[in-house]
Amino acid sequence: MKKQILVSIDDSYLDRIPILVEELRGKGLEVKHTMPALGVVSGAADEDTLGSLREVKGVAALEEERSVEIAPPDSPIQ
Amino acid sequence: MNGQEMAAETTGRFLVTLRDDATPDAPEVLSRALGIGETVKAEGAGLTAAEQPQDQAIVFERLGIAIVSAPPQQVREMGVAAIEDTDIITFEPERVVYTTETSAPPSRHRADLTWGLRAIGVETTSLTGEGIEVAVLDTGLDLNHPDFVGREAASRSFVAGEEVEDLHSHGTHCIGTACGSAMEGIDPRYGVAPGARIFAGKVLSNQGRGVDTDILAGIEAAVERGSRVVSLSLGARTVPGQPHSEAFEKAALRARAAGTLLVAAAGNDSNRPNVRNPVSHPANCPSILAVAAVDQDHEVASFSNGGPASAGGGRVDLAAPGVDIHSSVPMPARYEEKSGTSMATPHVAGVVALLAEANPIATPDDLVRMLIDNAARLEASADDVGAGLVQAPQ
Repeated sequence: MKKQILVSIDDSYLDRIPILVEELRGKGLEVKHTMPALGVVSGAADEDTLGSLREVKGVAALEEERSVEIAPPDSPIQ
Repeated sequence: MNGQEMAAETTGRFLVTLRDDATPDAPEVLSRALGIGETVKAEGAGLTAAEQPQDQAIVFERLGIAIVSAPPQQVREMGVAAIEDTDIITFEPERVVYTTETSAPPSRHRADLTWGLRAIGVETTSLTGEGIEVAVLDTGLDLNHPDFVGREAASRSFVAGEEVEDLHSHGTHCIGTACGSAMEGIDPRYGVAPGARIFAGKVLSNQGRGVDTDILAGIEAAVERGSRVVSLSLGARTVPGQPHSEAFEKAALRARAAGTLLVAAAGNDSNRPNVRNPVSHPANCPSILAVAAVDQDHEVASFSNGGPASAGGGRVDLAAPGVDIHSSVPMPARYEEKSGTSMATPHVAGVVALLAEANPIATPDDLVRMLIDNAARLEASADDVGAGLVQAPQ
């Protein structure tokens, strides 16, 4: 079962994001979006690969992506 | 009194602040303490220094302030006497003030303003957000809306398969509040920063749904473009004790380091007075300003999230108007009133643009300090409204 995840990159690895992204790919992350200015990479990964992704040097945190929702246009509170 | 005040141009008159309950007895207090012979009400009195007799005081009863003149040789003596009198709070020189406008205001009919704009002091500021880019990440914008004709605006969709065109209405409403125009015929005026450049990023679908990645992609684009503020009228409900997102916190810190401040809606999951839910994601991140909603009486809106950070939630930083807010929506409706912390958030984003215009080299941290310092204190708990009601710089 694939999970949509966000990977936060450690401050000291911000200058090596492309290398880090390749390493994450090698560990099974299907990269969706790399955001170098924010130091965040998003993508999809099998649940059983999350542990090894978290151990990649330069990964500060790994979390599951959330979805947000606003009320329909005619709702009294938005 | 500091050196700067000493250096200010003064009129030779003095302002005497009376204790609240001493105001009705102003003639007696002023006579006893300062030897004033006659006290007249401000209404009907000649107010210029030249017209005021030496031993006469003019009193503003509702303000509890009297204006007295003092001959130079008696200033010191009167000041000491005033300070020693228990019914007098302060005795200070009247200053000469000038407007900060560089050109005369237009004498033509001036449009009315929404209650929200008035509540945050937009009516009296000459700032417009000129030269400042405001990013609003939402459901997009009605690009053909007549109120936005001729506006400098960029747009981009981060939602797969959807154009920027706002088929929901939420985005057009939020952009209207932050950046709506002030041209003739728009009455009431509803936009805080009519001179700002707009970046309309679509991160929520026309159904009003979005995912973290698309929101982050929008933030990244805003940072790269040099937007000074990102307005996020969106959120996901949280439960007490839920930690904030590491990714959004890091993103917000890095955005701030690059010059971009993030503000987000505290969320609408409460039903006061019985239910008060914690601040939503991503507003619960410490480096993102969380905005609560207040109504026309400046009371916390029933739906507005909040609560003590000690209960394991994010902190509310500021409050802004968020009930019955009139703003733009896609044509043909053109305008609509909406309520929510979503409506409060762009008021703050607009004020950030005004502050950034007035303080071109201010960092996001500087702007946050100004927002907090300028906020009007409210009776409601800081847990619910933070530093208070956001105020436009004057």
